[in-house]
Amino acid sequence: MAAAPEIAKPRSPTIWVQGLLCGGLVAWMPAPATLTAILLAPGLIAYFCDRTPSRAVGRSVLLFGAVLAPQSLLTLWHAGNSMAASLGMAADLRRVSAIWALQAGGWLLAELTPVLVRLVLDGKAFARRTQLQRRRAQLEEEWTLPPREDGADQPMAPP
Amino acid sequence: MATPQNARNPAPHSDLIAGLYAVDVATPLADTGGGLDSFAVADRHGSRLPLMAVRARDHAPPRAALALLAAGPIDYVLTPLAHGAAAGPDGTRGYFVICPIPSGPPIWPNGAASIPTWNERTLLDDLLRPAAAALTRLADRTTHRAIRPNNVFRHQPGEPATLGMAWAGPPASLQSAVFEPPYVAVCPPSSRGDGSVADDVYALGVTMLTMALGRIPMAGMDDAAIIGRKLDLGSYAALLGDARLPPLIADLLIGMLAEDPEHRPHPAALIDPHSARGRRVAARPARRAQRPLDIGSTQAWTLRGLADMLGRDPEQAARLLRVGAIDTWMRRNLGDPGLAARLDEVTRAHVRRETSNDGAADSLLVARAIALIDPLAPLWWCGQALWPDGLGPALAEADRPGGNPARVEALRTLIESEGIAAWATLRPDRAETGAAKLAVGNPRGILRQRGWGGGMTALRYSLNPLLPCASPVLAGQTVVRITDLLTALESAAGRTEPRRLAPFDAEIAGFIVGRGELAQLPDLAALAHETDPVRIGALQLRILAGLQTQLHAPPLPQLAAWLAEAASPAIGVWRSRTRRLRAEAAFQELHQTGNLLAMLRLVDDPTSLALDAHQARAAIQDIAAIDRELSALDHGGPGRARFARQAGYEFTTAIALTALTASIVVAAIG
Repeated sequence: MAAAPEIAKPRSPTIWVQGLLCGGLVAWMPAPATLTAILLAPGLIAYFCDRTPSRAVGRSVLLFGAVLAPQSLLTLWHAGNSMAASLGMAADLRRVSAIWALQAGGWLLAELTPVLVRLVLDGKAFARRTQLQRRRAQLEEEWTLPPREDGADQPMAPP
Repeated sequence: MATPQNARNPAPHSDLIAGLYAVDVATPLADTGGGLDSFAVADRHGSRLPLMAVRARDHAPPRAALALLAAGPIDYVLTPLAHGAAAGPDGTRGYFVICPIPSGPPIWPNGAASIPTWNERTLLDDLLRPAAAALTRLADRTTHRAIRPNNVFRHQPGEPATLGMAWAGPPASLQSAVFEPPYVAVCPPSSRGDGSVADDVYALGVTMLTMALGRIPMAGMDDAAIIGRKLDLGSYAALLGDARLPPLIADLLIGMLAEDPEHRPHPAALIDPHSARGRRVAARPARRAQRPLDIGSTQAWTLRGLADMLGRDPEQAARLLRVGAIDTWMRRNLGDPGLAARLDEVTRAHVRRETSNDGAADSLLVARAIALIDPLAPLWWCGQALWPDGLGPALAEADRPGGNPARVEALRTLIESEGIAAWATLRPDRAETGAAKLAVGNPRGILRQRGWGGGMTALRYSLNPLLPCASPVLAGQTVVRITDLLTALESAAGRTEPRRLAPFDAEIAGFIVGRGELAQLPDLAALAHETDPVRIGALQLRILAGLQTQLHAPPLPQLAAWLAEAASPAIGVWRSRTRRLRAEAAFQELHQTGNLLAMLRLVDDPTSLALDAHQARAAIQDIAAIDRELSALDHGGPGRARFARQAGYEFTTAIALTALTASIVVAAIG
């Protein structure tokens, strides 16, 4: 059966509130906002490009980026919270590359972890299936029962 | 002595009868067997008493009275010493009765047309007194029923005669119509029954008459003419004809040849002939009608003749009875309105009770009518006469290969419709019929038993305790006792021909029931209707294993191997392959030991079979559960992927949040 076409959900009013708050924050503190935007640029891009409903990958990348952001914002705060200081810190490649690398690591982790979990689960399923098939073969032989009919007793492809 | 009483002790040697007597089939004896083949016998104990073995004919079993004669010898009669199976002259086994050889030749040489007459003294001293003494002692146990001149022996004149062999065939089956009362002679030879001592007295009387006349009375007449003449004139007048006898002999014979058995003197009275002469009971002559009753092409002038004619043609008789022609004839021409009224009452009661007019109903009506018309007459059924205690030999004679199926069917209807009881009820003062004795065996119950647990076959063996089993499996063997059955089957199992047959058939089943082994009755009943080879094999094994246990029979390895072939499908009932293989191996091992019961336990163990079935059901449920789980695993890929993605993201988020928290804490601490 063909999947029903997705109906675009009406945007929640909170998105407007969030936009308003972000706009207000940028207007009120442009320097931290600028620095934050630069430092978390990969995370923001990942977040907005993530088409999954929960945006879990984007969220993880942002969270990993946010791990080192407080220290930079604190430094900016102690440096006067000016736009120049903000841009100066944003030009610090070490700082930026560290945070971006961390976000890259977060993205990698977010992409690899499901695969690893899937591997573990499929491995367990394969082992269980082998065990069940062996038990079934024993019962078939002992009680002269017919083999499984749906052809599903073929060995499962290893994960 | 091999009698039914000690029949559970098998003979120690198969070729010796009772473990003592070896039949010398190469030495046949002439004129000693009372009409049956007889052979010399060697007594392994070295007894000097010359013995002979008289061979019973097939389908004419020896008399059950052999058991009663085990109490000891009786003077002036060839008392049996033993009986059993042994090899016959033609190579097949036969059943023999051992008894002493007569001390002399028969008083009537075989084939002689006439002999010198015996005088009164010789008749009394040489024949009557010893025979009466023998019959007196015999009367406590049984009857002789084979007294005739060529079966009475005397060493030499002046010596007492000895009554010959009378035990190796059905009672009176070898008697000619001359030497039997007309009411007995009218029955087929196999249907005459044990009768009473009065019948022996009658035969002794005819024998005396024969010796007194020096010729066989009524010689040259056929049986029907002899019987008809005796019924018309009375036996004494018919037999004597125009001859004259000494007064004492004539008076004795008038009593001994009386038509009513109760009017004949007891043999004890005949030991003193002069005294017996005065005790004669006068019999009322038969009343003759003014005009005869026409029944078909025959005419009845007397009640005796009427009863005989009614019995011979039951359909016509029943028609005449239903329309009231006979009681009308009795009133108008015989002058007996009392008997006519009783007959009318019996006929009306019968018509009220019996709704059908089939052959059995006709015969029942005729049997009741005859019991009223002539209480001395035998039971007439479907046109043939019999005495109830002759039912067993009659059945053995008719129900055999090449026998008389119509007669078998007639006997079946006689038993099913309780014709014997109906007939005996109407002549309650006549106890000599054997009806009461027959009722003890409950033939109707045996006949009604389902499957192989009853029926005519079982009844045949039940009524003939010494009838050999006629199963084709036991061909060439004579199996009379239940203890011999397993041994004979073991022997048959060792030969090729019987192995082509099933080890168990209806004849063997009937034989087992007939010999009173009723513990197997439910299995025998079930076996007849069973079509499943698995159940058939198990049931056969169970029946024979039960017999082996009950009779304490020795190991039967060849029979066990034979049964193993038949019962091997029963091994397949085990659902568990392990148990099946184990049982097969054990089955092979056990049948070599010949222990049928142990074999049975392998194929017929309800507890283990129930456990096996329970475990089989559990295995099926396990398989179903496994299949469900395998199916879930087969179709669980997307679910696992979804879970893996979800779990991976959650894990990543958790790590990120942990790091973020740590970072904030570090930043806050400074």
